[in-house]
Amino acid sequence: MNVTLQRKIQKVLETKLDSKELSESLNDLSGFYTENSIASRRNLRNDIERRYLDINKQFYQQFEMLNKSIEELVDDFNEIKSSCNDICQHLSSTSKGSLELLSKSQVLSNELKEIDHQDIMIKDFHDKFILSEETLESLHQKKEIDQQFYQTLERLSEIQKQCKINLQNNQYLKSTYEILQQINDHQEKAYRKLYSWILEEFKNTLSKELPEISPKGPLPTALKALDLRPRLLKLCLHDISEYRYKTISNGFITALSLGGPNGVPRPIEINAHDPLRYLGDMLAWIHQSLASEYELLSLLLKDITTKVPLSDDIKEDEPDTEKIEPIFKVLNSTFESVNRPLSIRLDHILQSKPSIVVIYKIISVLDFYSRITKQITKNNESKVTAIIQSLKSKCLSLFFQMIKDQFDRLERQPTLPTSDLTPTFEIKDSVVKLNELIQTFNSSLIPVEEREREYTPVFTSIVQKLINLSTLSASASKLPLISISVFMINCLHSIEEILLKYSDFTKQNLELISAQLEVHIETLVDEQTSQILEQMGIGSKIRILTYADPKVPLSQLSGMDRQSIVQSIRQFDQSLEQSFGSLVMTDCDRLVNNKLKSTTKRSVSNLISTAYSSLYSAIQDPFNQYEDPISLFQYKPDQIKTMLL
Amino acid sequence: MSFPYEYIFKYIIIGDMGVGKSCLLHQFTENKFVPDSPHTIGVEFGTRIVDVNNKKIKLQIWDTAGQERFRAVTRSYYRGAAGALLVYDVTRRITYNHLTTWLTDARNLTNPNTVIMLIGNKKDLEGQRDVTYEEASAFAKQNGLIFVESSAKTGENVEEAFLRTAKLIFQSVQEGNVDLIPGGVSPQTNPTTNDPTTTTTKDNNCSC
Repeated sequence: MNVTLQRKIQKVLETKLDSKELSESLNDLSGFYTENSIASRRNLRNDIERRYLDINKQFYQQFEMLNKSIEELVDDFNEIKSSCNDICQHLSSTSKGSLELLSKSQVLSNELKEIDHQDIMIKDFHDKFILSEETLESLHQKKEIDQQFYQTLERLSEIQKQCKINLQNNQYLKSTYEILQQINDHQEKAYRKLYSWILEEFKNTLSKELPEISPKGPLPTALKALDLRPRLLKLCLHDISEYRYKTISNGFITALSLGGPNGVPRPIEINAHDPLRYLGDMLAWIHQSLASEYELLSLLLKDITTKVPLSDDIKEDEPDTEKIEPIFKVLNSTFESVNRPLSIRLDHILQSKPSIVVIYKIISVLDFYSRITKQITKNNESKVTAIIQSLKSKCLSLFFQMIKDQFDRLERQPTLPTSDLTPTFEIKDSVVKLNELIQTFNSSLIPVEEREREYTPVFTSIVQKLINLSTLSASASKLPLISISVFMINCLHSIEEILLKYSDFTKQNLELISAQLEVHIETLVDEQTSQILEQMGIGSKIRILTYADPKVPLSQLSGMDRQSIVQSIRQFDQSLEQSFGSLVMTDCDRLVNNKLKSTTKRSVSNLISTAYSSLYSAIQDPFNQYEDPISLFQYKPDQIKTMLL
Repeated sequence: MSFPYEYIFKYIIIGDMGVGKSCLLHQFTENKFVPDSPHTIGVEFGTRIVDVNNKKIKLQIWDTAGQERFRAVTRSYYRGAAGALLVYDVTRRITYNHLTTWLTDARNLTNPNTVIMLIGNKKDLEGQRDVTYEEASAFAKQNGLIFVESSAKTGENVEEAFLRTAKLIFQSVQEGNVDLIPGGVSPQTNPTTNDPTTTTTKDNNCSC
């Protein structure tokens, strides 16, 4: 066997019949190997090879197409690449350019921010420092003064304030000065406008006797705005004063001479004959006007805090100028109007020579009104109070002058006491007047705590003069000492009686009087006692006893011998028995006051009893060498005392 | 321009000491009651604006001291009063008994159109009443007075007293009986008569 064949058979045998490839190949073969013929078998290889060729041809064709596509792709790609390169190049050049742009735009945006900021600042500044057309119109164009006007005015002063702060901080000096200048101009114009508006308002309201002012009305508001303009305020105050001066003056004169409508109420001057009524009515009118006027001004000027110089002559810039509240400034000038009419009328009253008591009543009325007018002005001194006080002090000095004249006259030729030793007519009369004066004082409106202070300076001199007058009368009389004492006691007591009724405030005077009284009472008691001892016979004995040399026994002294002692004692006992123990004390009996009478008498009796007692014990004393001294006396001192007291 | 008031009426309050004149004033002007308030020295003064027939009226009230020793001073305040409140204490007959004296004073010193109102005060002290309503009412009728009992302590009838008086004065003004108190000038009244004190006196300045 042929090796080739063998190998072929081997190969066939080795062929795995169940392989997939084989089945597929066979399957495929069955597609074109349709007929098992020799020719077919011979041609099989050819067929297969041809088929193989065909397939390769197909492959080739396909690949050629693919290659073509790939070539196209490559071309495309190359194109893209170059485009990309272009782009890249372009980009890099663009990027270079935009960097510059960016930095430029950064700068611009920063500038923009700055500008925005400045814009805000400027707006702010504008708002703060510059006034809008509309605002300015309200300030200068509009005729009426409205809320906006005041708001604008306030804005102006705020701007002004801000400007000043700027100036202090050395900021924006130039512009601030410019603005300040503008603001000042506006302000000046606005205030001028306000001022002339106020003047017009004044004309319409203030000439009425009782003008209507509403607390929230236009005038108080307008005046309040002037609080920052002292000069204009001063002018306004002056104008108010002038209007009110006229009104008050007219009102007062009308009330005085014409009275109310159709003469009701009747004119004050109808009572001119009755000084107190006349003066009282005038002062009451002033008091009532003051109350209304104070109320009016309080409403008008309530918001003004600036104080104004007291006097118009002084420049307000001077540092030490005394200043007062505007309301008092006006009130004072206004009520200057009543000064003259009132003073002249009071002068008339005084010229009619009213009695001293009436003058004092006038003083009391004036004092009352100076107090209540002060209450109206909340305890602030006002011109009204000052006017009334000056009238009061004028009357007071007249009063003092009258007192002085009267007493001077009386003292030049003092009336002598009469035999009953009661106060002289002049003294009695003066005491009656003193009583009336103190009564007036007591019924005045001087507060309790001030009474003593007010009383003392006015009345002490009167009381002193009364005492002096009594003393002068007594000393001119050339009466014996004891009568002088009685007279003085009677006079002093009549004064004391009056003062005692008002001991709340007359203490000082009472002390003076009672000290004087004591002296005179002591004199009276002493004198009366020695007189009576003399009459009863033991006077000389007591005198010897009082002045005797204590080293010499009494019985050896002349007039002190047993016999004369016995006689004296007898006489004493007899007088005492005859009077039934109540001795006649003619001088003490001339005391007007019963109480004083009985106390002085008692003191005299006491002294007599004491004198008897001392004589008794002296005689009993063995040193004085009286024999059987007990037999000398009928009565023991105790018994005498019992009889006398 | 709005006026706070169009008229001013002047009042006086009179009557014995301790009947509550000052308390009535304080109750009316300040709405408060001050027990044990001190005696009035001379005269005191208060104001209040009231509404009568839709007109604002300012009442200027002068409260006088009741003590006898101030009589000389207080009588100067009657002049020009449009209203007089005559007060007694319903618990003290003596203050009622003195009414005639007060009334005579008021009639003599005020003008004929002055409205006088009788007020029995201390109405709250019913237990201590000493004067009956009927008696005082009859007295008021006899003398042509308006009458009310009030209590300054509780405030009862206080407004009423002041307002009724104001209404009557206002009526009187409108009927033309009263030439207004100087200054209480009504805009409607004839300018030649409404303010005699300022219009008729210009020539009199020299008389001072």
